[in-house]
Amino acid sequence: MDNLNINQSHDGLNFSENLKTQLNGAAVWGGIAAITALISAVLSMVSAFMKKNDPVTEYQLEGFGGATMKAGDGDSIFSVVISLIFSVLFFYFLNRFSTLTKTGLSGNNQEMVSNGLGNLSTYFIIIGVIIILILIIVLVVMAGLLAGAGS
Amino acid sequence: MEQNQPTSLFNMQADGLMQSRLNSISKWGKFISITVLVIVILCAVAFAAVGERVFDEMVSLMGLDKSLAGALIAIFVLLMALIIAWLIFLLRASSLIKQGLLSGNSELLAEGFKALRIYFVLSLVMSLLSIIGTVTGMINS
Repeated sequence: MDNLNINQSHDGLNFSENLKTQLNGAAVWGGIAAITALISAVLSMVSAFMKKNDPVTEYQLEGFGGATMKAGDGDSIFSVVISLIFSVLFFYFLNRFSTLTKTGLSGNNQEMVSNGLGNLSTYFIIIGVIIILILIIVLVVMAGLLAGAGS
Repeated sequence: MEQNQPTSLFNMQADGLMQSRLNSISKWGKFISITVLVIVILCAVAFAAVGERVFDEMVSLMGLDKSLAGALIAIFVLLMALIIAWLIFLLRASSLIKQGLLSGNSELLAEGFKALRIYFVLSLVMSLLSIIGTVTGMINS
């Protein structure tokens, strides 16, 4: 973790009333956003399973020699399940941030607020790591395609 | 600035652990917002180059009316604008939290959390749009 050079009194950075109000607002909306994102992920999974049970849809591609594109196969189920797993993780940490921060602020419990912020930090770290992994996968695939085209 | 604020009986302070957690939020928030902004801008440039042709293909592929291509492009542009605004608020929140920590100014931290609140509100809007899209798709299928 970076060392911070912080201007503050000898016993720490004071929380003004405005800071408490804004932090509480972020915690409230973070909690609502977490629940809605989870509902959205669950609905996407239900929708993907419904499409899987439907007869396979085939679209005719005009101008591409009559080739067909199939929709509603196992690939979408796999991606939806992966996204649901991540959504549950996001929900857990964002909801913990919301609950702990709101409770900590209302009870003036510094440790609880700190733990709430720790959960928000973990939430952002998970998103950051996922982005790094996706970028690595994209780069590897592109390198593979370029190597394939070159040979 | 802080001297004008009413002080509570149990005045709360950010200790070293809380400050390192705030620093981590700021650092990762900045990384996420800048990385995704670059990706979104690259996608927008690619879309500007070949977008209309791709949407025309999509419309004919789905057997929809050609006039719907314009509507699809408008929806796509609005979504892009929403995503960019969402990321800018995350970037603003990260920068203000960092500045607040470095200067020991709780008002800057408060502004950072205000921007974070707007980021969460926009996250909620995007989730609601996703829910509406999924439910509409389920009803139509």
